[in-house]
Amino acid sequence: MNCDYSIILEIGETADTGAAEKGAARITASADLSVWHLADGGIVVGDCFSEHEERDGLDTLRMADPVEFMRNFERRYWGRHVVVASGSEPRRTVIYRDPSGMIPCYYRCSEGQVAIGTSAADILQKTRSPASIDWTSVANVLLMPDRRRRESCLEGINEVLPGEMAIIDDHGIHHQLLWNPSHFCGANIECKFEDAVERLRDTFVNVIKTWSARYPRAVISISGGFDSSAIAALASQAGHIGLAHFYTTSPLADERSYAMALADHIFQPIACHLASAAEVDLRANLSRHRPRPSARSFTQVFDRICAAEADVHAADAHFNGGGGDNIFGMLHSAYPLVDEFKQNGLTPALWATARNICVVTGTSLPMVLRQAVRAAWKRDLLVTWPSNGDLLTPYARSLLDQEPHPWLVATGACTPGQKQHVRSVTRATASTDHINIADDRPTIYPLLSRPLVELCLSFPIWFWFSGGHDRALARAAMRPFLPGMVTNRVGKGAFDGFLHQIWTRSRGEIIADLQCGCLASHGLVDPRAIASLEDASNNSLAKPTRILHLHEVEMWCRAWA
Amino acid sequence: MRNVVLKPHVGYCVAGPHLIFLDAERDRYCMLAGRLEAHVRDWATGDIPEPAVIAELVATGLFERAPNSRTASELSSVPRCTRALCGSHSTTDRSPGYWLRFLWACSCLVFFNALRDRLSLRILLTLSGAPRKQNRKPPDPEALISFLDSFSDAALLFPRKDRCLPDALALRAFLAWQAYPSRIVFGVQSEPFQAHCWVQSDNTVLVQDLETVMGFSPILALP
Repeated sequence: MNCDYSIILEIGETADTGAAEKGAARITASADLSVWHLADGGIVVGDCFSEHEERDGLDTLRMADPVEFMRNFERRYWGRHVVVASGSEPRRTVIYRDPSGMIPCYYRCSEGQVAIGTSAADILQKTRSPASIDWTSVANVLLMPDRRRRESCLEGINEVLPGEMAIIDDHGIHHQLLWNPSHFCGANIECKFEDAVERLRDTFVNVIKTWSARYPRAVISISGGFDSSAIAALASQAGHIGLAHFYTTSPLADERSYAMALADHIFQPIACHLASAAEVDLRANLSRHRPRPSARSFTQVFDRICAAEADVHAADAHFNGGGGDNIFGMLHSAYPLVDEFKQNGLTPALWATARNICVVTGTSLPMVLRQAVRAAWKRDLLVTWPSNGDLLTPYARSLLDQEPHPWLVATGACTPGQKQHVRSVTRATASTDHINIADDRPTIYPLLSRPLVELCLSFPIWFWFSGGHDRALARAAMRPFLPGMVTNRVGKGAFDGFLHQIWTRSRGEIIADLQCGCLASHGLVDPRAIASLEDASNNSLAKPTRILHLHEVEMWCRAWA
Repeated sequence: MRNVVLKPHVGYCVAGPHLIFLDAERDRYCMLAGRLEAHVRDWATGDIPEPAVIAELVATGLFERAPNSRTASELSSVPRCTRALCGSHSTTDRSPGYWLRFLWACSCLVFFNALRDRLSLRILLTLSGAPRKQNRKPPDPEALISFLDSFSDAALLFPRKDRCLPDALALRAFLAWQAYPSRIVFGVQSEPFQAHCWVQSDNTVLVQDLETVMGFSPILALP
């Protein structure tokens, strides 16, 4: 198991004053996580990097006020980490999670203790609390799978969202955004395209070098798409890598030609594996030990293949291209046109951007212009989060939590395109805890590294659509490292066909589980809609990814019900 | 000699574990029951079916007893696309010729978008090949690209999602106007089933990316 840690701190009146300062907290962590005890009692779990100093510089940070300590820490370090600090005047404990979201952070306070970690059973046991499913949270997971709320799916266990700190003091618990994405939105709005390309390339190279120095032997799962290929190309220059590629019998998910073109280009061997739907164990939800369901059943096959490849290469980590679509501005929206209009006014360049957006999004020009005009006209435009009520009851839909994610709240004064870009990055940070979840080696998402995220948010959003290509800036930045076949490709593979195979293979079992399972008995899934899935010709709601997600959540609930 | 053949405007291909048929005359995709499908597979390898089987195949509406009509091997002769010619969306040409082509492309797109749900596929296919000018010399490659630029720009004005058929019909009519030889190719994927169509000239797909069409098995190509 990777990313597994537990920190127990005494808090409140009964606490041994200065316990945390003396390092008296009880800490356990899996082998992939470094634990750093600071001189003043702070605890850092995970990896932290600074452009200007070694990690020893951490000890120079003063701990007198843990909130101030966290502010200083956040300014200096990036990586993947959770930091805990306590102070006595005023008495408070602060938990900070870095904005990449690569290390989950859950906690529960009880009877003078706070238990922090990733294992729900461990947190509940340490706080002597019973396990009880929060069905409102479960409904929200079903409605918005990629939106994280602070409330987990087990009552009493909360999550510190990426970039946030949880402050626990005599007044209770409150959360505060420490890393604010709006500080970076449009910070380089005057930048020229060519300069942006150079800066992105330099930062990308440095980020990969840093991760490769920390994990010198990495296995990279190459999808054949741009993002994972870019990571592989740069990582191959910085350390030892192993390349793995999965394909299926579905033509929708056979990208071997692209993966092999990349491997040839960087002179690395690649192992291509056929992923079989028969190897998926639908009964197992690999995130059952976590306080919320995050694991996808179809990735079990990929996890097994990656673990075997990692053994072959004696790798110490997996590198994954997740987050690329998000940070590289792959938006299905006309809002970038509004951003450009607000920045530059009515210029001929708007016409080119409008056309580029049409080409990238596959939307007609009238539609693009209509959405752009509406957005430009409207003050305080709210960028909403897409929700999916398919196969759910009206009761489940009524449980939707309307409170926006704190990152979206923070972007209130930003332009529409910037808001949507931030929302896209937010969604990516919610998907970092399910790949290789059972392996001992961690999965690193280099593209969600803070320097890259901040830089990508800073550029004019319309740059990402230049020339009618999505992720145009990144493509231009990586052109020297990648084969043209990968850099210039317009499509991308999808595992829809693989999911379809899993669904058709186990249709009866899945329907039976959903019809008489926990979700149905708590009134969340609609039994009639589930029954209609038995008709194979009924494709209106039968999206395999949706059905399998419902089933995965059902399996998680059964583990805790 | 085989004594059963596919009807005109009917094509089939192997997609995943099944044979999928397209009957363009009746605008429908279909599969056959397992036993009949096995007979068709045998027939495709040269076996002559039993009379009872022939009767069943004819009853599907996909086959006919016409020994001199097309054969399965002719159908598989649709050349696989190996290159694509797309409009650039960044042409700077704004000559009267560009606007004339642009307006003609718009007209074709308006026409076929409006009629897609009102007329049968057979009539639409007939209409899209109608404005052919036999006495005109087909454009050279450079001129063809400027034609495709105009068409690509015009296509941006129209809904894009699930509009491959009206787009292909309009492009075919647009090119037929210039006596440029092309054909509409229908392709399918299985698991999950998806259908697509595009305009192809020899081994070149026009106004679409190669990657978009490569995942589809050609099922029928109509000149």
